[in-house]
Amino acid sequence: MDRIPIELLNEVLSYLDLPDLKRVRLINPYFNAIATPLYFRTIRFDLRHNLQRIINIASEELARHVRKLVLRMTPLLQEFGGFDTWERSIALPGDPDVDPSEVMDYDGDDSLMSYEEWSGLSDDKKMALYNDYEADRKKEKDLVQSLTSYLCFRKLGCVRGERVHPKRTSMLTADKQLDEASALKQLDEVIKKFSNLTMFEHEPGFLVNYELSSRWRRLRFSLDIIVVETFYKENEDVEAL
Amino acid sequence: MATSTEAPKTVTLTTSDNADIQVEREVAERSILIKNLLEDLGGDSNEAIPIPNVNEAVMKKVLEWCEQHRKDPPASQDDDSDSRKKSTDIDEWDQKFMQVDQEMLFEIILAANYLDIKALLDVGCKTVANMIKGKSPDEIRKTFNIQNDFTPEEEDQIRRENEWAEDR
Repeated sequence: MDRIPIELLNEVLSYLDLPDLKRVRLINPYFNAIATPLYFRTIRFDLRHNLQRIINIASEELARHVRKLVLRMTPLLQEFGGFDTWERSIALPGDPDVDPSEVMDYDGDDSLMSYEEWSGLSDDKKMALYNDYEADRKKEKDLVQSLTSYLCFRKLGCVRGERVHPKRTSMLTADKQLDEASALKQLDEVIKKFSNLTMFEHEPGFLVNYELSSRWRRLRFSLDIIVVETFYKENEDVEAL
Repeated sequence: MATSTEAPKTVTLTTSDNADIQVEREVAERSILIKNLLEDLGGDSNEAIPIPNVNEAVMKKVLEWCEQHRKDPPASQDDDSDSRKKSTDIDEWDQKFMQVDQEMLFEIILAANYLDIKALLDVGCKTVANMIKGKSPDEIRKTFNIQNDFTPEEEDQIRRENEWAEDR
């Protein structure tokens, strides 16, 4: 194997997908050196889950390998408009009204609550959960709004990008602008560090994993009701990026 | 004065271990290196062509592949090196052809690279890629007899980095 020159090994590794490249990086330093640029070439992220990851990548040697960033539509938590709708939308395994085949669960600390366990909760506990949910939802919504207001994109070869939503900034108070600008500056700075970036793509909305947006902590919401009763205002903002 | 303008039907290749191999020109010309050499020499040369980087055993194996693929259309030039997820599908004959020991497999790849036979090089690289696919780092090391000279700290660092690019 050591007789195969780097460019041919590079050719071999170009046939592998990300899970395989991930393991190839762990073979030894030589393979790691060849697999790393391929592994970090394209980074997919969404604003809700993976912001910290691209910040991590930007702070390491790895940043120079990134050629393409793909912003995925953020599966945002949905607004239900009130406790009653929220409670009606909950669809957990064991619920007689829920088709078991549509509940995909995974093991781990965040596995779904059973219908039985949920039914056993007192109204106060349920209400407390709803309030937490609402708090999380608002936090998320604010984050995405501030991101869509401030995110600057640099086209290749351009020094300065344009605000995505120039109008939006004037709607915010000066104080708030300052605050959010510093958070956003971080992402802005991060993108600057990808010195070899040639493409910034946005994955279309229809690829959104709705399974993700229908889950919150150990609860899960029925998708039918979400689609009927909510309005995708925030998602449109992300789409605008 | 030579009047024949017809190209000779066969050529002679001299391998690194000084063996002469007679082969039909059309078969030998699967190698872009040999094809260019023949063109440079002109159509009427009967000289043996030295192939100093490939020995007889490997050359015979490579020519076996060229014989099988002598009528293949020339490789398409739209080499899209940027598109990830290239297919590792290999046709049946080629799969059987590549069932050789590792030493020979690598020799074939090196020879295909040197002789500039793109399609054979691709088959070789795909074969090695398929030997890596789905294996753990340790299984890959065992397969290719590779030493792991990472420190545990370095390994941890790579594991952390791996998570950052994970497509989830």
